[in-house]
Amino acid sequence: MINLTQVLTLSAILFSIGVYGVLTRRNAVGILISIEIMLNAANLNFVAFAHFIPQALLTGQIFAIFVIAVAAAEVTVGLALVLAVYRHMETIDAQKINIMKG
Amino acid sequence: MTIEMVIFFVLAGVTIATSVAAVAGKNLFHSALSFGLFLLAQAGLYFILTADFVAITQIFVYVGGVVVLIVFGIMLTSRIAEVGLEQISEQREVSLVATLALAVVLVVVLNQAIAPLTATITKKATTHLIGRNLLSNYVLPFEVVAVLLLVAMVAAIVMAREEAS
Repeated sequence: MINLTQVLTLSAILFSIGVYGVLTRRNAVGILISIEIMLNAANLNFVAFAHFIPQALLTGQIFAIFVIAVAAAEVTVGLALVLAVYRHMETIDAQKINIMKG
Repeated sequence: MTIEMVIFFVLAGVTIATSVAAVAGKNLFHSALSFGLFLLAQAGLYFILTADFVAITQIFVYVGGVVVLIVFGIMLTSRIAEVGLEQISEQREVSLVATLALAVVLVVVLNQAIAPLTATITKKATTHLIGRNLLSNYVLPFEVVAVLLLVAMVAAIVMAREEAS
Protein backbone atom coordinates (compact mmCIF):
# COMPACT_ATOMS: atom_id res chain seq x y z
CA MET A 1 0.00 0.00 0.00
CA ILE A 2 1.32 3.40 -0.81
CA ASN A 3 1.00 5.87 1.98
CA LEU A 4 0.57 9.61 2.09
CA THR A 5 4.14 10.51 3.00
CA GLN A 6 5.53 8.66 0.01
CA VAL A 7 3.39 10.67 -2.38
CA LEU A 8 4.16 13.92 -0.55
CA THR A 9 7.88 13.15 -0.70
CA LEU A 10 7.60 12.59 -4.43
CA SER A 11 5.80 15.88 -4.87
CA ALA A 12 8.42 17.68 -2.77
CA ILE A 13 11.18 16.25 -4.95
CA LEU A 14 9.36 17.25 -8.14
CA PHE A 15 8.81 20.76 -6.77
CA SER A 16 12.51 21.09 -6.00
CA ILE A 17 13.38 19.95 -9.51
CA GLY A 18 11.07 22.64 -10.86
CA VAL A 19 12.71 25.26 -8.64
CA TYR A 20 16.13 24.21 -9.94
CA GLY A 21 14.87 24.64 -13.49
CA VAL A 22 13.49 28.12 -12.84
CA LEU A 23 16.80 29.19 -11.27
CA THR A 24 19.11 27.76 -13.91
CA ARG A 25 17.35 27.97 -17.22
CA ARG A 26 18.32 30.80 -19.53
CA ASN A 27 15.70 30.28 -22.18
CA ALA A 28 12.35 31.83 -21.28
CA VAL A 29 10.38 28.86 -22.59
CA GLY A 30 12.56 26.57 -20.46
CA ILE A 31 11.63 28.66 -17.43
CA LEU A 32 7.95 28.24 -18.34
CA ILE A 33 8.40 24.47 -18.51
CA SER A 34 9.98 24.47 -15.05
CA ILE A 35 7.11 26.53 -13.63
CA GLU A 36 4.68 23.97 -15.05
CA ILE A 37 6.61 21.20 -13.32
CA MET A 38 6.21 23.05 -10.02
CA LEU A 39 2.48 23.44 -10.61
CA ASN A 40 2.14 19.75 -11.34
CA ALA A 41 3.95 18.88 -8.12
CA ALA A 42 1.48 21.02 -6.17
CA ASN A 43 -1.41 19.36 -8.00
CA LEU A 44 -0.07 15.98 -6.98
CA ASN A 45 -0.19 17.17 -3.38
CA PHE A 46 -3.82 18.19 -3.67
CA VAL A 47 -4.91 14.96 -5.29
CA ALA A 48 -2.97 12.89 -2.75
CA PHE A 49 -4.73 14.56 0.15
CA ALA A 50 -8.09 14.07 -1.54
CA HIS A 51 -7.33 10.38 -1.90
CA PHE A 52 -5.95 9.61 1.53
CA ILE A 53 -8.38 11.66 3.62
CA PRO A 54 -11.88 10.57 2.59
CA GLN A 55 -13.54 13.22 4.74
CA ALA A 56 -12.17 15.83 2.37
CA LEU A 57 -14.77 14.81 -0.22
CA LEU A 58 -12.90 15.40 -3.48
CA THR A 59 -12.07 19.02 -2.65
CA GLY A 60 -8.45 18.40 -3.57
CA GLN A 61 -9.41 17.05 -6.97
CA ILE A 62 -11.64 20.04 -7.72
CA PHE A 63 -8.83 22.38 -6.73
CA ALA A 64 -6.49 20.43 -8.97
CA ILE A 65 -8.86 20.96 -11.90
CA PHE A 66 -8.85 24.68 -11.23
CA VAL A 67 -5.06 24.69 -11.01
CA ILE A 68 -4.87 22.95 -14.39
CA ALA A 69 -7.17 25.54 -15.94
CA VAL A 70 -5.28 28.49 -14.46
CA ALA A 71 -1.93 26.98 -15.44
CA ALA A 72 -3.10 26.61 -19.03
CA ALA A 73 -4.14 30.28 -19.07
CA GLU A 74 -0.79 31.24 -17.58
CA VAL A 75 1.19 29.34 -20.20
CA THR A 76 -0.84 31.03 -22.92
CA VAL A 77 -0.18 34.52 -21.63
CA GLY A 78 3.46 33.68 -20.82
CA LEU A 79 4.13 32.44 -24.32
CA ALA A 80 2.45 35.49 -25.83
CA LEU A 81 4.78 37.63 -23.71
CA VAL A 82 7.77 35.59 -24.87
CA LEU A 83 6.72 36.08 -28.48
CA ALA A 84 6.36 39.83 -27.99
CA VAL A 85 9.78 40.03 -26.31
CA TYR A 86 11.35 37.94 -29.08
CA ARG A 87 9.89 40.23 -31.71
CA HIS A 88 11.45 43.26 -30.07
CA MET A 89 14.76 41.94 -28.86
CA GLU A 90 15.50 39.02 -31.20
CA THR A 91 16.41 36.84 -28.20
CA ILE A 92 14.71 35.16 -25.26
CA ASP A 93 17.83 34.57 -23.23
CA ALA A 94 16.89 35.58 -19.69
CA GLN A 95 20.33 37.01 -19.07
CA LYS A 96 20.23 39.24 -22.12
CA ILE A 97 16.83 40.81 -21.43
CA ASN A 98 18.11 43.46 -19.06
CA ILE A 99 17.09 46.80 -20.49
CA MET A 100 15.42 47.74 -17.20
CA LYS A 101 18.65 47.17 -15.29
CA GLY A 102 20.53 50.03 -13.69
CA MET B 1 4.98 -5.33 -2.37
CA THR B 2 1.63 -5.10 -4.04
CA ILE B 3 1.09 -4.28 -7.67
CA GLU B 4 -0.09 -0.85 -6.61
CA MET B 5 3.25 -0.08 -5.00
CA VAL B 6 5.17 -1.35 -8.02
CA ILE B 7 3.17 0.84 -10.37
CA PHE B 8 3.57 3.80 -8.06
CA PHE B 9 7.34 3.43 -7.86
CA VAL B 10 7.67 2.97 -11.61
CA LEU B 11 5.59 6.08 -12.29
CA ALA B 12 7.48 8.01 -9.63
CA GLY B 13 10.77 7.06 -11.26
CA VAL B 14 9.48 8.11 -14.67
CA THR B 15 8.26 11.47 -13.36
CA ILE B 16 11.53 12.23 -11.63
CA ALA B 17 13.66 11.14 -14.58
CA THR B 18 11.66 13.05 -17.16
CA SER B 19 11.44 16.19 -15.06
CA VAL B 20 15.22 16.15 -14.54
CA ALA B 21 15.61 15.75 -18.31
CA ALA B 22 13.20 18.62 -18.84
CA VAL B 23 14.99 21.07 -16.56
CA ALA B 24 18.58 20.08 -17.29
CA GLY B 25 18.48 19.12 -20.94
CA LYS B 26 20.70 20.94 -23.37
CA ASN B 27 18.33 20.70 -26.30
CA LEU B 28 15.20 22.69 -25.61
CA PHE B 29 13.03 20.66 -27.92
CA HIS B 30 14.05 17.42 -26.23
CA SER B 31 13.25 18.91 -22.86
CA ALA B 32 9.79 19.93 -24.11
CA LEU B 33 9.16 16.37 -25.27
CA SER B 34 10.29 14.87 -21.99
CA PHE B 35 8.05 17.39 -20.26
CA GLY B 36 5.18 15.84 -22.24
CA LEU B 37 6.19 12.41 -20.98
CA PHE B 38 6.34 13.81 -17.45
CA LEU B 39 2.74 14.98 -17.79
CA LEU B 40 1.64 11.54 -18.99
CA ALA B 41 3.31 9.85 -16.02
CA GLN B 42 1.69 12.43 -13.77
CA ALA B 43 -1.70 11.46 -15.23
CA GLY B 44 -0.86 7.84 -14.39
CA LEU B 45 -0.20 8.90 -10.80
CA TYR B 46 -3.56 10.61 -10.70
CA PHE B 47 -5.18 7.37 -11.88
CA ILE B 48 -3.54 5.49 -9.01
CA LEU B 49 -4.84 8.11 -6.58
CA THR B 50 -8.39 7.46 -7.84
CA ALA B 51 -8.62 10.84 -9.54
CA ASP B 52 -9.79 9.67 -12.93
CA PHE B 53 -11.42 12.91 -14.03
CA VAL B 54 -8.37 14.95 -13.05
CA ALA B 55 -6.16 12.52 -14.95
CA ILE B 56 -8.21 12.81 -18.13
CA THR B 57 -8.31 16.59 -17.75
CA GLN B 58 -4.55 16.56 -17.38
CA ILE B 59 -4.13 14.59 -20.59
CA PHE B 60 -6.52 16.80 -22.53
CA VAL B 61 -5.38 20.18 -21.28
CA TYR B 62 -1.72 19.68 -20.41
CA VAL B 63 -0.47 17.09 -22.87
CA GLY B 64 -2.84 18.07 -25.64
CA GLY B 65 -2.72 21.82 -25.11
CA VAL B 66 0.19 23.11 -23.07
CA VAL B 67 2.83 20.89 -24.68
CA VAL B 68 1.62 21.89 -28.15
CA LEU B 69 1.71 25.56 -27.10
CA ILE B 70 5.23 25.19 -25.74
CA VAL B 71 6.44 23.45 -28.89
CA PHE B 72 4.93 26.25 -30.98
CA GLY B 73 6.63 28.78 -28.72
CA ILE B 74 9.96 27.03 -29.16
CA MET B 75 9.59 26.86 -32.91
CA LEU B 76 8.62 30.53 -33.20
CA THR B 77 11.34 31.89 -30.92
CA SER B 78 14.43 29.82 -31.61
CA ARG B 79 16.42 29.66 -34.74
CA ILE B 80 17.00 26.02 -35.55
CA ALA B 81 20.72 26.25 -35.01
CA GLU B 82 20.23 27.84 -31.64
CA VAL B 83 18.19 25.12 -30.01
CA GLY B 84 21.23 23.11 -29.05
CA LEU B 85 23.21 25.96 -27.54
CA GLU B 86 24.11 26.30 -23.90
CA GLN B 87 20.91 26.61 -21.92
CA ILE B 88 22.20 26.59 -18.39
CA SER B 89 23.37 29.69 -16.62
CA GLU B 90 26.52 30.01 -14.60
CA GLN B 91 24.72 29.81 -11.28
CA ARG B 92 24.25 26.09 -11.61
CA GLU B 93 26.14 25.00 -8.47
CA VAL B 94 24.52 27.52 -6.14
CA SER B 95 21.09 26.65 -7.52
CA LEU B 96 21.80 22.97 -6.97
CA VAL B 97 22.73 23.58 -3.33
CA ALA B 98 19.66 25.74 -2.75
CA THR B 99 17.40 23.20 -4.43
CA LEU B 100 18.79 20.31 -2.41
CA ALA B 101 18.32 22.32 0.78
CA LEU B 102 14.71 23.03 -0.20
CA ALA B 103 14.07 19.37 -0.96
CA VAL B 104 15.58 18.23 2.35
CA VAL B 105 13.56 20.77 4.34
CA LEU B 106 10.32 19.85 2.59
CA VAL B 107 10.80 16.11 2.98
CA VAL B 108 11.83 16.32 6.64
CA VAL B 109 8.97 18.62 7.57
CA LEU B 110 6.46 16.45 5.71
CA ASN B 111 7.60 13.27 7.34
CA GLN B 112 7.45 14.76 10.79
CA ALA B 113 4.17 16.59 10.45
CA ILE B 114 1.99 14.14 8.57
CA ALA B 115 1.17 10.59 9.52
CA PRO B 116 1.67 7.89 6.87
CA LEU B 117 -1.99 7.37 6.13
CA THR B 118 -3.08 4.67 3.75
CA ALA B 119 -6.26 4.27 1.82
CA THR B 120 -7.81 1.56 -0.24
CA ILE B 121 -8.44 2.09 -3.91
CA THR B 122 -12.17 2.36 -4.44
CA LYS B 123 -13.46 1.79 -7.92
CA LYS B 124 -15.74 4.75 -7.95
CA ALA B 125 -15.93 7.18 -10.82
CA THR B 126 -15.48 10.74 -9.67
CA THR B 127 -16.87 12.58 -12.67
CA HIS B 128 -20.43 12.65 -11.38
CA LEU B 129 -19.44 13.99 -7.97
CA ILE B 130 -17.08 16.57 -9.42
CA GLY B 131 -19.75 17.77 -11.82
CA ARG B 132 -22.29 18.16 -9.05
CA ASN B 133 -19.79 19.95 -6.84
CA LEU B 134 -18.64 22.30 -9.55
CA LEU B 135 -22.15 23.46 -10.22
CA SER B 136 -23.37 23.72 -6.65
CA ASN B 137 -20.67 24.26 -4.05
CA TYR B 138 -17.93 25.65 -6.24
CA VAL B 139 -19.95 27.50 -8.85
CA LEU B 140 -18.31 30.84 -8.06
CA PRO B 141 -14.72 29.72 -8.76
CA PHE B 142 -16.03 27.86 -11.79
CA GLU B 143 -17.49 31.02 -13.30
CA VAL B 144 -14.48 33.09 -12.31
CA VAL B 145 -12.16 30.62 -14.04
CA ALA B 146 -14.33 30.89 -17.14
CA VAL B 147 -13.89 34.67 -17.13
CA LEU B 148 -10.17 34.22 -16.48
CA LEU B 149 -9.80 31.97 -19.50
CA LEU B 150 -11.60 34.50 -21.67
CA VAL B 151 -9.37 37.31 -20.43
CA ALA B 152 -6.24 35.21 -20.95
CA MET B 153 -7.29 34.39 -24.50
CA VAL B 154 -7.90 38.04 -25.35
CA ALA B 155 -4.64 39.10 -23.70
CA ALA B 156 -2.60 36.48 -25.54
CA ILE B 157 -4.08 37.50 -28.89
CA VAL B 158 -3.45 41.19 -28.23
CA MET B 159 0.12 40.65 -27.11
CA ALA B 160 1.18 38.21 -29.75
CA ARG B 161 -0.25 39.78 -32.85
CA GLU B 162 1.79 41.59 -35.45
CA GLU B 163 2.09 45.31 -34.98
CA ALA B 164 0.02 47.30 -37.43
CA SER B 165 2.67 49.22 -39.33
